[in-house]
Amino acid sequence: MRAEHRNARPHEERHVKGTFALRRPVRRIARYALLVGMAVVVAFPIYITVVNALLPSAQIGARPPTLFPTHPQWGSFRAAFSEAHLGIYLRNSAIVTIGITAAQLITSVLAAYAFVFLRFPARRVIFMVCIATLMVPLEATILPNYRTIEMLGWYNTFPALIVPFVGSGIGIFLFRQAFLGLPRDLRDAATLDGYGHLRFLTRVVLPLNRPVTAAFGIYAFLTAWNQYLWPLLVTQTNSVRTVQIGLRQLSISNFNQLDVVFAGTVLGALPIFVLLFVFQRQLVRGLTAGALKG
Amino acid sequence: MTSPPGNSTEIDSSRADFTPVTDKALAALPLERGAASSVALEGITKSYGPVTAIRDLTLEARAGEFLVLLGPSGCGKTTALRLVAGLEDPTSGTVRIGGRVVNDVDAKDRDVAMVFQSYALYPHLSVGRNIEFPLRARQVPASQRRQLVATVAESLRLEQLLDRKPAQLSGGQRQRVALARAIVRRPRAFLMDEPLSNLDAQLRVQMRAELVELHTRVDITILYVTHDQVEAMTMGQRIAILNEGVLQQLDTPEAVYRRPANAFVAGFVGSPPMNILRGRAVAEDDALWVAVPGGRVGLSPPLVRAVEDRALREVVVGLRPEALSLDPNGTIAAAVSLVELVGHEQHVALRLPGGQLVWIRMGSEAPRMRTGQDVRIAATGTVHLFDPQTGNLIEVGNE
Repeated sequence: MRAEHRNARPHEERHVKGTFALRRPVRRIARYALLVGMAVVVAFPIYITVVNALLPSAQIGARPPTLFPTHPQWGSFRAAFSEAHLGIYLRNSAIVTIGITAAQLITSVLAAYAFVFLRFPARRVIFMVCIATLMVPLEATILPNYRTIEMLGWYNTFPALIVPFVGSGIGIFLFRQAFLGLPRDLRDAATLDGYGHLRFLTRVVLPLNRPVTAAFGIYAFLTAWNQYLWPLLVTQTNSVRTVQIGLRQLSISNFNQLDVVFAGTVLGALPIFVLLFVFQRQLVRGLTAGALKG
Repeated sequence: MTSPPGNSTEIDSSRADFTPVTDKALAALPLERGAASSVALEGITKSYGPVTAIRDLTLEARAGEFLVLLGPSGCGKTTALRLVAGLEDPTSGTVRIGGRVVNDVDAKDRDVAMVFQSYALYPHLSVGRNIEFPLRARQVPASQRRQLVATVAESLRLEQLLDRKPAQLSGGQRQRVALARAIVRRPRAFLMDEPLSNLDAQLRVQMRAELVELHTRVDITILYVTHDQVEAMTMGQRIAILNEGVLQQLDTPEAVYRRPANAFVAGFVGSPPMNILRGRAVAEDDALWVAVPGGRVGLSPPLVRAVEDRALREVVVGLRPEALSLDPNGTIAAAVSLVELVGHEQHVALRLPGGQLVWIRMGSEAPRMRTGQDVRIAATGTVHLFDPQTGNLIEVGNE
């Protein structure tokens, strides 16, 4: 059909197209070469990690390096659970990450709702303070937070890992911007229809803001899962150590089965990949639905 | 370049389904007689910081009445509606619904429904769910909900659309869904905030007729806010005209038109508006006249008495466009500035020597006039007289 269409074009236009046809493959090749190069840079460490997980421990770091395992050793994955406590680490990470994500979603949505739909004194100032927290780096709060945790006797407990992160300036900002897009009339209509704030939030505001909820949920989950410095500071035993810390402990201890460490790394990164693959589709669908609403 | 064919057919279908609401369907509406309540504002003032939106407003919509609040944007009419709904609290004064003071009653418990200019439909819910929404909040049993939604949907010809989302509806259809959502609750009063403003002209005329029809056949109190004086005149049983938060006049459309309480009402109601001319009272040729730019306006004996009794020197006269006509012997000289042919009649704007425009209304069969042409006009209809200080109508007994 496209060919027919082209043939139907007047002569000069075909001529113009001809010059494009000469240039286009060159451009396309250049573009793809660049993309492939970047993909390799990003994917190669991940690939090597997987490969190393499948090699016998002695072969790791050998020269020349093995780029393709001819005799993959799947036992390292089992060993990660049986010998390197990966099960506990993953469980701990799940508890901490889900706790933080849920808490951030709840507090951000509620705070943003208040900023948009309620009138109270110093509303703008308080919002500014929330936004200002975005400018404070984690490193600046580590010391006071650490002392607080110590004072509360929370050292080496789950609350120490979760509670400092239950609020999120970015979350409040994102949800506030999204909620501002809702027509005020909707709130008034719902009020007259008999819906209080909480039911208006759950029945109207949140269903209308699925994309931003999903996007922020993923962001919060990724950030929490990949935390390193803070969990390192406030954990001491395996009972609360997260995956990142546990793997670090393994690699610096005299645990000499490097293939198991690599297997653990792969398993530790797996939830993130799964999450992205699953929710990427959700995200796209959410965004398209929003666009079609128009 | 041209809109896709699917688009135009959709608009066509929305037009085609404008068959009048049937009596049978209306009779089945869940609105029992006697459900309508009076709505009253008593001495209401509403301030936002230093800004006063409404000043000492007192008005009442009687049970079952169609009362229109009319005024320019920013006159406080929407605020008045929101005060009745409970979406705002008055700074002072009393709100009554059905005789009961509701100042301290929550919006959801006031039992009034509101129709918004934007319709305020819930975009993520189907038409059926939208109509059902207020019933769910009130924990009406599912079977009863279904029945109510079905009845209301039928009466507003929405039964084919129950599964659609609001985005898939035409403006008129959305308007009817908003109406259905209001009706399904059997409220004591309907508050409508410029509900027709977002519709195109043709649809607006149709919805106007439908709303009036709905009101005449079902017992409902309607408080209707608009800035469109044509809507107010055609729909309201009475009209309350507001300006800068102050009630100017509350009366029937006819009375508002014939005896506007002041120069503001006179200028706001009517299209083209009443011509308001400022002049001096002068005695010439053994009679009392009002000297205006370009000539003079004669006064009837009662008006002469009124001017003499009050010893007025300055006078403001109001002349409806139909109270003026072209006349070679007319007392006012003017030049044609603009001619608008609106089908059955012409509106002609004339410029007086001072620069002021006056409108006259003429039949469409009258010869078209050239721009710039010099003419003379005479006051052949009712002359209204306003107090130059207050702007209030100077009432005379036998008019």
